[in-house]
Amino acid sequence: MTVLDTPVLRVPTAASDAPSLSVAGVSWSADGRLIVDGVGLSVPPGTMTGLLGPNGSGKSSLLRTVAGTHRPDGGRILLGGSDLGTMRRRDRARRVAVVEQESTTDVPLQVLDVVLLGRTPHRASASDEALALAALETVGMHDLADRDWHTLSGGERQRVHLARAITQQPELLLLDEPTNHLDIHYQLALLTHVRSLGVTTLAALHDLNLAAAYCDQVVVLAGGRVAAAGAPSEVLVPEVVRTVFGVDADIHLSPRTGRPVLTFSPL
Amino acid sequence: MTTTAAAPATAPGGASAPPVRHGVRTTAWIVAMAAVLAASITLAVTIGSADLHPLDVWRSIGDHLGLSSSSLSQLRDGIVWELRLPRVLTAAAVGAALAICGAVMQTLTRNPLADPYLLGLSSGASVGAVAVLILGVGRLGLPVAAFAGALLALLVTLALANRRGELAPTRTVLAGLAVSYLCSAATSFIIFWSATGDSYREILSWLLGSLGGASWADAAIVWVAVAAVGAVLVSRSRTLDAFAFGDSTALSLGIEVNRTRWVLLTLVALLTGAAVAVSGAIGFVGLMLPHAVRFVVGSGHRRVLPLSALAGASFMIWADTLARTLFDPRELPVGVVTAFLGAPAFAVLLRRRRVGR
Repeated sequence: MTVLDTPVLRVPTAASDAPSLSVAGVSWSADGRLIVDGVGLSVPPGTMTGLLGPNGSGKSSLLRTVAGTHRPDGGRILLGGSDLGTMRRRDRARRVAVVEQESTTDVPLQVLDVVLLGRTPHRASASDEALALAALETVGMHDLADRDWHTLSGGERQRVHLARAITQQPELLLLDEPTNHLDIHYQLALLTHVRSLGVTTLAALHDLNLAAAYCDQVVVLAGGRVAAAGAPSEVLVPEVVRTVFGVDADIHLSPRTGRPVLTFSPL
Repeated sequence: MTTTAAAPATAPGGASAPPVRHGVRTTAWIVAMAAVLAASITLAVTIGSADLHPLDVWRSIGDHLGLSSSSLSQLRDGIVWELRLPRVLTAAAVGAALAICGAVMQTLTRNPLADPYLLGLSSGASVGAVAVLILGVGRLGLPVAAFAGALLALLVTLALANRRGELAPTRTVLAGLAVSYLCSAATSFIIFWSATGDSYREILSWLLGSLGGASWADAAIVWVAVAAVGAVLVSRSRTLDAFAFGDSTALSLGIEVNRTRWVLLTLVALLTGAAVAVSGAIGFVGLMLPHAVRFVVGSGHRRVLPLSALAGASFMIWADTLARTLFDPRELPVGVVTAFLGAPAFAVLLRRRRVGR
């Protein structure tokens, strides 16, 4: 197990050749109800953007639309200038990897089997296993490569999914509440791993403090629309938190990282 | 937690010993199971009323392939080549077909209880086969009609089970049961209405399966189907593997989920149709064997599909051998044997896995 760092920002390592994500006017509706309503946002190359918002604000739906699970009703999704919407699914999977919340399986699989699934969109190669083991190393799970999936804890499973996504060698990483149900150690560890990759990342997050600590910028959704966007210190202010989440918050600056820390008043 | 920035957590610690992989073990299993199959074929042919030696089996095969000319008596040669070998080989192919179908259906419906029998495909195929039999269409019409029946049953089952694009396991099994009962009733009705002689016997052989009277043509139909469809399915192993974590993960791994599911399930219906056309609806083989194989070698389809086929073939040979010898000279429908072995396995699965929802 790795000893955890305090959540400080590391300079991304591979930002130079990473593409930017640009989402423009994207809408998606289900059963005639508009869930994502003309959302526009951009994620600069190699940085991490947090997608925030109350339950039902459309975070997951927007993420799934960007991931290609949902077909958007309108709008464009560009990655480094190429339109993801018109791309063949396999080509898209070579560029975009997704980690969902608590995705599990009934079939007996070993950890390395799961990580190797990341190579699915790529041509099979002799180096696949080395890539998968390196990804497991990155998330600190190299020693568990031959463990059965069903014996893993929630935090370990989530890290295996992250290793699978890394093995996919994506240019864009999409995370849907990756820290859900993880204890505080795994929450911080997971986001630290993600940051260290230097891959352009869009992550739906529940915890405003985690977003404030790890994200380069945050986008706040409310009712399927963008309510606020920008650097955490600009966006996570009492007025926005009150309007969007309906709670009163005090904002402090962490003496250690200089990042905003939110404390909430009882309703 | 007083330090601020430590060394990167990602420092690769050099290549430590990789974990034991499946490669060598799988090859060993395939060779072993192929040997078991060859032995099963040889031994099963010798079992029965006439006293045959295992070598007689290979002598007869050698003679007919023009590889040897032994002094095997015409009677013995006839028993091997005309009577027993086609039946044993048909049984093997049917077992292989059903096991492959079960493995693929379990993956594509994400349902550990899926198999061609439980989801109604086999009974659908029976209806198709019986319908063309009474119309008197030739030998080739039979598998085609069985395929059509299996496909139709599959469509109805999935339409009934589908709820907002989700196939909940219990719902799917219940839908399959409904389709299965309806098709069984239709099969019985058609035979009863049309047959002049011993209709009950014929009804039983379609509903519970029988390999009695299997010919070389029957063996050829199923072997060709197993080889062709099996090769396609094995070539899609990585695609099938990607279904393990559900549709949206498969999508994000670059799989065209819906198209793939329909194409592969249609192939499964084709293979089921070929098997049912020659043997009737035999249950539990497609359910049990893939689980047993996964239990031993894990769940990669490149391993599971060939091994399920080999295990299914051997299993079916012995089930049929039991069926024809247990109450000799009367024959038990082979589905009775597979159900006796399979139903307990089904119960174990129900208890062990979180199947319901």
